[in-house]
Amino acid sequence: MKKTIIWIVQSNQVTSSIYEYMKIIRTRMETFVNIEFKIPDTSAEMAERIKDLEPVVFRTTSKGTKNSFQAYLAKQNELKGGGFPEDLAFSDVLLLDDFGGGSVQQITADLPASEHTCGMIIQIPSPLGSSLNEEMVFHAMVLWARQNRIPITGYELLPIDIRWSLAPSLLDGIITRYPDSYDHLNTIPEMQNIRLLPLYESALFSITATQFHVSGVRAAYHYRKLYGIPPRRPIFYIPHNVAMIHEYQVLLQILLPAAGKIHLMFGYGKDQVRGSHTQKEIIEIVYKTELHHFKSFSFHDMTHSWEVLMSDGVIACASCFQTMIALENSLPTLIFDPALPPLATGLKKRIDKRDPLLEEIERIICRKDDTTEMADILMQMAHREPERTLC
Amino acid sequence: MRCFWTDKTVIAYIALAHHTRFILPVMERLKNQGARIKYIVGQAERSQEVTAIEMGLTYAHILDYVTPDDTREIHRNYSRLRRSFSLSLKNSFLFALQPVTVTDKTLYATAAEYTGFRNLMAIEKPDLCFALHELNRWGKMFAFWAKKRNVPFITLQEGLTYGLDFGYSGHAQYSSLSLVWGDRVKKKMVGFEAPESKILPVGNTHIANEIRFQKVNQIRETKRKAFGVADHTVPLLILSSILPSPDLFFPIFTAVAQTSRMTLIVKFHPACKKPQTDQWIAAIPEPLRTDIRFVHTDESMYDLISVADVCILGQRSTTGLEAVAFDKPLVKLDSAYTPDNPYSFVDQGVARKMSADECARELKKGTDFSAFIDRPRRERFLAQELYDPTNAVDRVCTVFEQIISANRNADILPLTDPAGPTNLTWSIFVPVPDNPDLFLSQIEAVAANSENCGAFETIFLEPENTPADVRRILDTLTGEVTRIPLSETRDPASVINAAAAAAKGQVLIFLDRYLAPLNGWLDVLGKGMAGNASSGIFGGRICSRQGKIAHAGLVVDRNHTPVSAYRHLDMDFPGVRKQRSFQMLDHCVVLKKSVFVRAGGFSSGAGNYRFMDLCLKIDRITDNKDAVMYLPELKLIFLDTPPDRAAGGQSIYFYGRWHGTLWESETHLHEKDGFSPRDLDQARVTAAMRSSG
Repeated sequence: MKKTIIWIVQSNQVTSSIYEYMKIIRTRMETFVNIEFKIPDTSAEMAERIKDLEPVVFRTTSKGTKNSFQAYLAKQNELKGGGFPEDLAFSDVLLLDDFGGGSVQQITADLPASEHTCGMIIQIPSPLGSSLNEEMVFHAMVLWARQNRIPITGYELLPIDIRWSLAPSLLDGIITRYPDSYDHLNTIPEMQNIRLLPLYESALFSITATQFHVSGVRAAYHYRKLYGIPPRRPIFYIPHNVAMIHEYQVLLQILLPAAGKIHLMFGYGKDQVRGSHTQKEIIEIVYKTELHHFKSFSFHDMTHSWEVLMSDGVIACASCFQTMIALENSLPTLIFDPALPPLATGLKKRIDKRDPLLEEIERIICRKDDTTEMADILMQMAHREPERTLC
Repeated sequence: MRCFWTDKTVIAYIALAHHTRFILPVMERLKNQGARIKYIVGQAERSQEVTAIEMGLTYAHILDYVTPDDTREIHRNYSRLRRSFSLSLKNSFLFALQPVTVTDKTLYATAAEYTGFRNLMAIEKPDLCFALHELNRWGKMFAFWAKKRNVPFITLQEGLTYGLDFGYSGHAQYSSLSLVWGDRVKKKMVGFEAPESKILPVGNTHIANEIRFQKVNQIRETKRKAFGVADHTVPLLILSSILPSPDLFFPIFTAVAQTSRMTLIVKFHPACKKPQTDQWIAAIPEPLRTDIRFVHTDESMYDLISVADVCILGQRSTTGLEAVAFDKPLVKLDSAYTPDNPYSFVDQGVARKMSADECARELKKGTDFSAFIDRPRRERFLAQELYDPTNAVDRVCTVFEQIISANRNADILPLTDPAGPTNLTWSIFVPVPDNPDLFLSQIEAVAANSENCGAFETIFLEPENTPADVRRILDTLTGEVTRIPLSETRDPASVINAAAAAAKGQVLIFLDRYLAPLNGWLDVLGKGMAGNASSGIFGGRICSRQGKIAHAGLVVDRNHTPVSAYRHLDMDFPGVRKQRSFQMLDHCVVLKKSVFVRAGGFSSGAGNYRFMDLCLKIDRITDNKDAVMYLPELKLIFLDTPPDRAAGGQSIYFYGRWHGTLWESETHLHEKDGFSPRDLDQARVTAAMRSSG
């Protein structure tokens, strides 16, 4: 029987792009895993907004007590042994005021867990932007998952490369959108199973994402399958131009030491014909020797600019339309132009020499090792025995 | 003459305005006397900066004391905090009262402020620190670092203390002293395990000044005119931070709306949030609201009490006390009354209990509520609640001065002129008590149990007011007996020190009143002293009349106050049968005369704490880590209740001088001896059952 992953959806967590993506990923995974979208009653209005996903609203209940001595002692016991190095106990510092003395509140989720449920996905709240209900439900779901021995994985919507890291520490896995967040969380020893989404997926988890990004993820899934590009193979987009055939040949020659690892996407003008050859034919003929060394390559209509998102970086011989698109979407962009002085502004680097260019390319290749597609994360969750994943 | 305060620095932590009002009068007084004062605020979303700004105080933020060099330490401590809470949050709802994100912000701020308070102490080098209380994280960390640096830390009382009862146990944990308004509050706090010796009633530092201010500035008249209610009857309804349903008060609102020249003031608690108060007001029908003035934080509570003709408590509130102090009639609505509450204005006869309907009827009738005031009960109530209704600020400043003086008294100077030959083995000092029968029993025990263990003399410390029948006993004594009169005008420490210097014994034994040694005690002492470093001080196993441990060496409890190890357990409890060193001893101390002289004898001002003070001094002047030695076979018994250390008022000296030295050690002793809390509970139950049997 297929396994099930529960995806918790709350108010303010779904844009139209995220909604589209949820539909795409559910379809993409349907052969392998059921993704069930669940909405707490505190966000019941979401049911209508994402109705195509056939979400189920579940009940949450809140109960608590005030000024209970037993609760106070239980809290004290919970923090037993925790303290500053100079022997000031955390319970002495925090219990009576910040953490409410003997008052407790419990929010429980009336959410049945089937034996096929193998994981839960939930958005990670941020100290600088989430809402109270959302945060309370987040913790209720952490406890629910724990009690039902179901791994819970959080995803980054609001940035988590911040000084506060308690919420991520409660999870069995963390899906980050930004390399900065991925690197930051990796510096914290107790964070586990940190994943970094490729740009074409992470770009969707943004309030500014548009149909452009939805097309980008669709293209990525399509071409990865079409060309059999494995998940960890680095992809570089080359915005080819017939005005710079020689320059691009030099560029490809420089790339040769890394060629065995990478896939090249050639952006070209479909209607660009010079003499009796199309641009694609010119590329195949002129660079035949060089292309032979690359792991794989493909051709992409330059007007389908969202396809740039599939790559891990753009390498061009001059700034152009596609490098602009790349930079606007936070893709590393390398411009190899010996005619101009070197320049580095943010993700854009203009380089005039071979070795620095190769160094930058190696850096991007290394980063590729960090990324994991959402589908792979979901498959990892599905193939995991819950009992073994919980500590 | 140079003022004491001229070169002193006092730092106060402030947070909320209605709390800061108690701190401000003291700080202003100290500033006027030449002290350098500093206000500190902490990191809170309910801005503490606003308090300082609105009260016109120059302040520093605790994070101003954090530098980039501290970042690693802050992250390390934050990681510790996060690990503790993460573990709990993953498995339980105990810390789910607030969202994870709020918890997280609290944890990070705590880590940063912890370092900030440490740096503050190092940079500012205050002579004294001051805060409203140490139940919140700022007060606790501030108090902790002050103690680490041996700087006296004083807290005040926040209110009438009818909140979290079990919370009072932490009220004077790291503070040197906690100054409360009155005896009733002290009693209540002590009832919930707050340390009696550290809690001193001084009065309310704000209210007397405020009453004076209101009168001098004719606030009642001015405000009533400003509110347009000069000729109105003005009831004041006082609400607490968690608002009840407004329906409860509809009869009163209706009465006010139907009565001409009557305006009701509804005062919300400052801790209420604006959206809550707006919602609450909106729930009252429009016609009932016309003669109500709603006040949140835009008017002083005291101004409103002055304006009012009667104060009505709609919920529990400290403000009831202030209304009584302002001589206003007080009504408590029965919906807010809890029978058998540990504290109640109604039960103490200073508030009239009424239903909302009754109150409404009286308002409509135009009743003069002041006729309800029971004057004698009011006076009794205020005496219990406010130790000093008029001069609390003076008292607080005096305590501050005394505690700083004690704290600075760090030098240990040997006694000069230790005259007298030492041709006896022992000199036994016995304080003369009031009860002749018990005294007789004590001296009989000393005489009978001290034979054949070396020559001894007995030195009686005789207070001026010793009863005649006790004197008669003293008159009958013969042999090596000396009577040293103690007068009320002379410092007893210097008298005893002089007597000790003149004593003929090589070893001095100081006994508490009514403390009787058991057979063989001097033999045990002789062997014990011979087998241990001669530079030390020795004490023994003392049981109460009920056969329970009254002293088996002193440890420091979680309130950082000295208590006997394994107190109240059976005399033969395994933990007390082991010879070992402690930080302090009490009730009976034994030491060589030369050691006593070197340690400077008893300290002036140590009073009831003189034995502990002496132990701490000896511990300081010697390299011997076992200088303070408990001998379990040295057995004594109290013939009466052991003396109450807290009663003497010398805690200002003791906690002032030794603040930085007294750190919790009781738990460590239990762990070292292998007793779990459950084992000890069981032992207490067993001991109690034996007593009752």
